[in-house]
Amino acid sequence: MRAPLPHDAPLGLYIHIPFCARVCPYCDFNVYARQERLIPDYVEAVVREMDLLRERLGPVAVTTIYFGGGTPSLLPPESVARLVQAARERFAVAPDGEIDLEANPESAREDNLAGYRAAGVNRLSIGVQTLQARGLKVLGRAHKPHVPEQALAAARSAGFTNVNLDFIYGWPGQTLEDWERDLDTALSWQPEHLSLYALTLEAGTPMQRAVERRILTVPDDDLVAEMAELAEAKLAAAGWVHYEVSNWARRPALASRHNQIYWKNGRYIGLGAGAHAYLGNTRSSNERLPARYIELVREGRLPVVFEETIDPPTEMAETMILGLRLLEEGISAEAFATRHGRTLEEVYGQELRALAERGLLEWDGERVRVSRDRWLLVNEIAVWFVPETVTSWPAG
Amino acid sequence: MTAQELIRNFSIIAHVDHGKSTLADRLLEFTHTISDREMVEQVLDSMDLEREKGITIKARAVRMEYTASDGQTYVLNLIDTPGHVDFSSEVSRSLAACEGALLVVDAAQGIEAQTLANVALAIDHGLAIIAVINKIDLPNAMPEKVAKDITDHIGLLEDEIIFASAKEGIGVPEILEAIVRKIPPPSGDREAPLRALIFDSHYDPYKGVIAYVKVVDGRIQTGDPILMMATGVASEALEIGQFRPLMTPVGELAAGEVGYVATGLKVVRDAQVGDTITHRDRPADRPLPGYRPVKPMVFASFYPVNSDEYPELRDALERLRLNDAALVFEPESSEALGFGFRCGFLGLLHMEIIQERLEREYKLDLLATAPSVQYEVVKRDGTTVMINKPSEMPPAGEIEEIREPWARVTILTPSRYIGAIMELATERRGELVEMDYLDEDRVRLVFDVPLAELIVDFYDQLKSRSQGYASLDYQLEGYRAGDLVKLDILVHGQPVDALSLITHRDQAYYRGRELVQQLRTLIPRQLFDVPIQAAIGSRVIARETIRALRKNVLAKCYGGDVTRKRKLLEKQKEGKARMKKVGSVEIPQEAFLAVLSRGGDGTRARERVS
Repeated sequence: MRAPLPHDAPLGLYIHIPFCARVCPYCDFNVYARQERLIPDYVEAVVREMDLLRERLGPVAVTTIYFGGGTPSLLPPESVARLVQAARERFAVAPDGEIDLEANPESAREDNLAGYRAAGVNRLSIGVQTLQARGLKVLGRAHKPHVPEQALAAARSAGFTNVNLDFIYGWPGQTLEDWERDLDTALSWQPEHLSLYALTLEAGTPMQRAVERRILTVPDDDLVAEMAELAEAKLAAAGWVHYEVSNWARRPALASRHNQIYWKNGRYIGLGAGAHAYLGNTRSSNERLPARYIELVREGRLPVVFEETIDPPTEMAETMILGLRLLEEGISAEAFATRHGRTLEEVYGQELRALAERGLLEWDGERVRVSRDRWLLVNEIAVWFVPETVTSWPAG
Repeated sequence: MTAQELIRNFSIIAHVDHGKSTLADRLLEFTHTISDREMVEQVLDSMDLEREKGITIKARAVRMEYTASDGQTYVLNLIDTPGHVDFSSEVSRSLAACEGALLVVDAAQGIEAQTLANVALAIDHGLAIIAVINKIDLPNAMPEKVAKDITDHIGLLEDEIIFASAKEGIGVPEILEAIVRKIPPPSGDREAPLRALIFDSHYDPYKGVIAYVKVVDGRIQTGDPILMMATGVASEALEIGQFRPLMTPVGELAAGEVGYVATGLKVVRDAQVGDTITHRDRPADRPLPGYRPVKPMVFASFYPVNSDEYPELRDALERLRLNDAALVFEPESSEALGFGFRCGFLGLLHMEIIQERLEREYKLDLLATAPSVQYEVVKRDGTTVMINKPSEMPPAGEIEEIREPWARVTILTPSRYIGAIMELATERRGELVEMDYLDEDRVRLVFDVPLAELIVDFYDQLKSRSQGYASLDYQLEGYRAGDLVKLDILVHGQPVDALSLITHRDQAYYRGRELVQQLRTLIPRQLFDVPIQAAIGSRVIARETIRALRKNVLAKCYGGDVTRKRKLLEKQKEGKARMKKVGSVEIPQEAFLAVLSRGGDGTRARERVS
């Protein structure tokens, strides 16, 4: 028997805001342009969904709230205040709990940022992506290169002391020098946190099609690897902590608490269109279309359209494949045993030793983590922990 | 029973599309052998596949009755010949059953290489030749020019040539009259012991193997105990009949007559084309000449794409073998492709037909390896082994000599392509044997070319370099010693059996370089540098290195969509599981396939028919 997740384990609350002024060509998230008129109804629907969940889950304590998107900064501050307040009324939100909101540089003005701050938001994540004009153009971003610096200044004036900047590298046409300039500038601004994402060409996106048709050319894997290593080296030299594959914090305490819940295979509530949740031993996701989502919730139904039960082997695999992304912390043998009722050694001993032998993992019997110089190969390591699937390779 | 004086046995020699089937139809119509032509349009090509490819794969026969201008009623047996060089031994047997042949040439296209070869064969068999220039109604017809070619190169007199249009029915009566007048009747001894030539056969689930025969000497009756003289198989004539045009039982066939014998045998291999049927109680002294056991010349392996279909593939091959004496196969397992069959074929067209039948009639999804030939390896200890795949090659130290099959290739081409064709033949290790001008514009080139070079893409290249104008024919010329080597491919220092090949030393460098380059793009990067080498024995002749993988990481966690992340990893894991591990290197099946099917796609032998 495995122990259920303890009630005092962190529980995240994610609120998806699926609206964007325009959809970026590389994005395959659940986002919609030109549906901003739905925002007022949508906010009320999310409040209603909280009611439905409150009924189902009973009184639960929430440690973090995260407004993700889409573009949450399209919400007027009153709406954010309404949602934070509604959450506080229905769930026991920790008084010092992290409340994050993603903002686009062009919509991060001092007036609404101050409103978010007043509503309780205490961590701001600004989608800078790049400071190179060519990059902004090819990524389809609305802002000009000078805007992010103003957005950060506005955040500081509005009272934000915990600010993350999102960057993307590996965009079409980007050079190592472009990337170095972005990194140097970002560091000179002294944010608390940096999320540096390698561009992923998602199937079906306009950018992926353009690359497939050779209209655009992305840097090859080796160049992207060099970019990643450049970031790693520069930030390390500046004393930053590389605590997750794509995330760096100026100090360990500044790591994103909400996102760490995901990587530690913790529980979270997902509210809004297309939001994902992991509660008990079930992963689920909501109806993706905002209008349909609003309708379902209005009818008093939980808008869940996908559910899967996570069996113990899958749960253990998820603990591994997520936990390996935590480059500093990795997976603790003790936490694993407490969570799953079996020891790391008995479940994955063979894999761990084989990977350690190949120099891919550090495994000392107490903690597993990816070898420092192998963090770019984390998938190669993670597949070792994926449960066996049926294969059709002929024996012979 | 018909008196031999009133029998004429003949076949039609024509290049594809020159109108053989249409002419046959007209003859059948004119002699009222078939009344409703819509019901059995072009009866001679009865198999779907044949119809589609516009060729005749298996010989068929049909019996017609014709009342000539002399008032006599004659029996005309039309024996159809398989049109393709792969079946040249069957062509030869069909011709041997006849006393005459119609040579049909398209008035616009002129003589083609294959036609010339078959006419030569017919003349060798002593057949009377009647030339028919067909399609004279076409706007671009050049009947006089074609007639001159025929007189110059086949040696017929111009006034013996019949100008016709089978489509329009022009010339058909003249052709029938010529058959009666110019083709001699058969002249067998009806009282001698039975000798019946098998010129074709097929398997019937109720009557067993049906042998198509021409009775050369003696007679055969229903119920006679019979013996296949070459294979030594004994049987009984369960049913005797004629093709009118459907199989119609008769009590007896006598010398000169054409018909069928139902033998009750289970596989056509027991009643092979060219064999002689005799009477068991009163056997002939010796069989008719010309029997050659069928010998596969081209080899390829078939693997089911879905390994679960292996039993179905085996059953299908076994069923095809019932009807195909030339098809041979044996189980094979490849570390790269799993379980399949190594198959031997008469030639490329034969291989293609079998593959298509397996795919179409048996709904199998197949992987076919590039065709190859059988090598004769003479070992230092004096023994000789035949090998048809590289892995059977003895160690280099034991080899005295390697011999490979050669073919004599005849190409007819407009003279402006001589240069391009010479170049092709030279690239393929061909040697020019002969060159002569058919007229000021058309040239006949004869080369000796190793069969291995011929079966990979040669025909496509010929067509492409001559803009489709050149035609080709070949016949096997036996084995010659060659400077052949086994080329091994090493991945991360380890030889990969499935990727070895036998090649001429002069081409080994080019092939080796090409292969390692191809593999470098097909094998995914691993966690370490992977050298790919091509080697002859212990000598490396080409090398590429696949650089170590530097990055495989998902940037984001998709807003808590862990399911998606896990599925992506599951897919990666499945991809890895589908790869073949050679040492510590993972090689995807596509890499093996790309190499094993190299050059084997451009066979399209179907066009190389008469």
